[in-house]
Amino acid sequence: MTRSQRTAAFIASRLASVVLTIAGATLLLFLMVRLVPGDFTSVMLGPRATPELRAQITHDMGLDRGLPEQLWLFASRAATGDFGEDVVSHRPILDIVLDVIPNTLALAFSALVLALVVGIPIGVIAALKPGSWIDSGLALLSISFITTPTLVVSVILFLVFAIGLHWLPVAGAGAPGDIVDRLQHLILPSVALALGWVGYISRLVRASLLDTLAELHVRTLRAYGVSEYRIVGLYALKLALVPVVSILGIGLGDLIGSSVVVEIIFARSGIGSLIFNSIAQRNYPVVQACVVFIVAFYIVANLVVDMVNALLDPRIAAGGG
Amino acid sequence: MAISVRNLSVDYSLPQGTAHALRGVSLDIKQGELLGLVGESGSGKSTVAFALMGLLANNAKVVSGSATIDGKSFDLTKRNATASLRGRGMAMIFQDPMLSLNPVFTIGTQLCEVLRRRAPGSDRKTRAEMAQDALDKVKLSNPKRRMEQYPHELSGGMRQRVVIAMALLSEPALLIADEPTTALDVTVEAQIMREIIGLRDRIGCAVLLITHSLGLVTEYCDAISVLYAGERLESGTVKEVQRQPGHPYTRMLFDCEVPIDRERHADATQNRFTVISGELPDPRRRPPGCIFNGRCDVSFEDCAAIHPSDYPVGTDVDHSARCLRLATP
Amino acid sequence: MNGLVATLKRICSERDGRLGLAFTCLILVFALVGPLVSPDPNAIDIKARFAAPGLAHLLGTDNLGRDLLARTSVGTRYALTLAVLIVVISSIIGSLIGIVAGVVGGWVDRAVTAVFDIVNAFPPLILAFALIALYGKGSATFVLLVTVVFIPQFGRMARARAQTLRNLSFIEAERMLAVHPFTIVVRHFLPNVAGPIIVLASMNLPVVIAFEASLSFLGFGVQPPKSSLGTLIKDGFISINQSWWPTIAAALVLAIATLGATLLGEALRRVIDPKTAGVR
Repeated sequence: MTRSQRTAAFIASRLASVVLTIAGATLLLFLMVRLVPGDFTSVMLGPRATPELRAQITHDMGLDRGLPEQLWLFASRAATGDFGEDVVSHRPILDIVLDVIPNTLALAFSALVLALVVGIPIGVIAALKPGSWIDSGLALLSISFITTPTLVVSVILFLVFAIGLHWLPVAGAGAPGDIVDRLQHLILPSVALALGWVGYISRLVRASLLDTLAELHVRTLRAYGVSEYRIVGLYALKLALVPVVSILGIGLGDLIGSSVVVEIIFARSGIGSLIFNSIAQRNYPVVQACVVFIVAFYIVANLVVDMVNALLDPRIAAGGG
Repeated sequence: MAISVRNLSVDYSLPQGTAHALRGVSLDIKQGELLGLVGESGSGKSTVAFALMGLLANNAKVVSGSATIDGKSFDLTKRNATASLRGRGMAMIFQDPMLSLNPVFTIGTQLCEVLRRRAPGSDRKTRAEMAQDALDKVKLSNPKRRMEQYPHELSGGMRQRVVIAMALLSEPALLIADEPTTALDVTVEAQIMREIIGLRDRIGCAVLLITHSLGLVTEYCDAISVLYAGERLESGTVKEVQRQPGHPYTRMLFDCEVPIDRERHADATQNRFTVISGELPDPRRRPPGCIFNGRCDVSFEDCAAIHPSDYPVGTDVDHSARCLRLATP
Repeated sequence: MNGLVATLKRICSERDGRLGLAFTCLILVFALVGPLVSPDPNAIDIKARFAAPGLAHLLGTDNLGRDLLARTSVGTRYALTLAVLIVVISSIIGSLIGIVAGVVGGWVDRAVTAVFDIVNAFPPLILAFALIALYGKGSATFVLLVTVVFIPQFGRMARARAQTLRNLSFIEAERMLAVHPFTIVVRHFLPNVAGPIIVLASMNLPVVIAFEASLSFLGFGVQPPKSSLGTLIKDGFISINQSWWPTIAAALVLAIATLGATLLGEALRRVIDPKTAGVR
């Protein structure tokens, strides 16, 4: 098999497993919702339940038909983006979700970038002088970043900037269309989300870099007189970043989950606060749609991470590594 | 003398104490000569190489030693004494080619990296051409394709050829080969050794071949030095040393070799191997006398007390050994 | 018992271990002893609301004048109890499922792995959200549902270990000697799986503590009148404009608890399984 054939096979197999997982997750979600104790429509509509509405819902969602048919209805509609209409606002649920997604994506993306941009250099510095007091100091810092829950970080940041200093805005996402304002509003929430990951990435980079620097191919480079900076910055780092990319996949899931807390505290609209509010209002179709989006995104993100990994380390695509 | 090492002593500081890995080792290699440094595991042969290259581990300390390479002398007690020679005057081939090559970069990239140092100021295209040319010289099939491939896509023998190509590109005055064929099949071993000799012929460098295989040395090398527990016990041309080993250890080593055409008994249990009984001495505690004393079969009482100096053996001026038996005329 | 003492000694031999042990003990002492040295956590005293730390109230008071030291102490105790309960249950169930999957193999293994993958396809917090939203709030349900979220981790680890063990020669030897499978499992698999599982459990403890706090903060975890650190932070946050003491007190305790548990867990991992002491 040529290298491109192998890579294609690798991508194909990953895609296949992704599709399967999304299918399974959708099934689980569907079952979870349907198996709620009590009559589904009453639970869903809550105090708004009238016989007419209940009949309408029953018909729309196909609750009067068999379970497999319901699943097919849900899945086929979801695949085309039809999540039905919101009972209260009569807007398509898809629109409701799409309204808030950009906010959360901006938050997650900027948190990720922040974590990488700050975490990687810290890890490299620590690895260059292991055992020194710089290393110990950075270690202490990183560990405290990692262990402090996002909840605590957000609360403290909020306290400092809302009650104490008033340098940065603490609520909302900023005026739409005003890039600078939106960026300003992005700062605190991103920092709150990213802090834990800064710590984790810096520890991971340090350990991975130390391991790589001890490997024999680095000795070869040294034997041929290649400068230490070039060795660390170019050759060692590429290899050392492979585990970092791997955890980014899990990181994205954690980021999305933690974004709920951050969005609530900083009063940002986003898929996290949408889920939260919908749950509070017992608006289950919206919850369902949100979860489908999140799961799909999470799985696709992991797929992208796998691809990037294969790019970084050609042994992975070949099935080894 | 193209290469000479004088009085190299290296200590390792370990949690259990200080290990004296090398004591007063001296070597000479003529230009274009292949010197085989032979010794069992733990004799310190790799330490000689790393001390020369300045690649010793952090817990190692060069207590004494100097080297003269191509006319220039270096004080080996300083950590980066020979740093300027790396990639230009000295090249090293390591034992395991898979581990010695970076798995996530192409062969071409790694070869060109060597050239950056060797030919600074050259552009990428020139470097690529030189690299490809080197691959061709080491008889690697399809050099153009190899440039784009990754180490794991090549076999062990091919990888070692790449490593030799790297050495070729740096045009060294001294090539150190640390057990270059140990990780390879026997069938590939001959090919690689021929490549190394080809390299020597092409560039005219001195080669220090570090190995535990006496057979390799007698087959391919011009000169031999025997290392035991950190001391050089004997050195001379391969022909002379083989004909008339000056040191008991050398003699016993040759006796251990089993020639392929040796007669075998019908009853397999009757076949006997010669072994050298005993173990290496503890590197933390050197005995006052001869280092080989405990395992020698011809030692006498002075051997335990007097540390033998280098005595000439036979008529060849290059042949010498550290044995008190040679002291008595 | 000897093993315990030896383990403790080795944990104390390094700085992180000592710190972790110190913080954890601090929190434990705080949780257990707190109410004994402070006023009734439920005593409402409107006149003294939002008091700063002082002699009468060592950590101040909350919006209803209740003593914060007492409340945080009770909250800590509850939070720790829940977290430990969740970790213990999910580790036991997860290990059993994992061992079965790893040993039996075949379609059982594939089915179990598929289920694990699907559960893991949901970000943990979101999954817990969805489950609690659908199946109700309350501590018992909470423990059950969060356990479900964490089972796959333990299951995967146990399965991997079981698979490695299954292939070892001495297991094959015993099977050929017709030792009963159950005996093999108990004598060999459980002890070998227990090590990494304990390490994973101790490393997951701070995660679960933070998890429960986040969920309680959002109103999905512990319900009033019970309180945990998360609910205390929520209460404090609502009235943060009037006083930041309630929030800080609970948040600080939470931070110390997770820090201590993490350091201790890491030290424990280095002691029990030094081969995997990769990332510090």
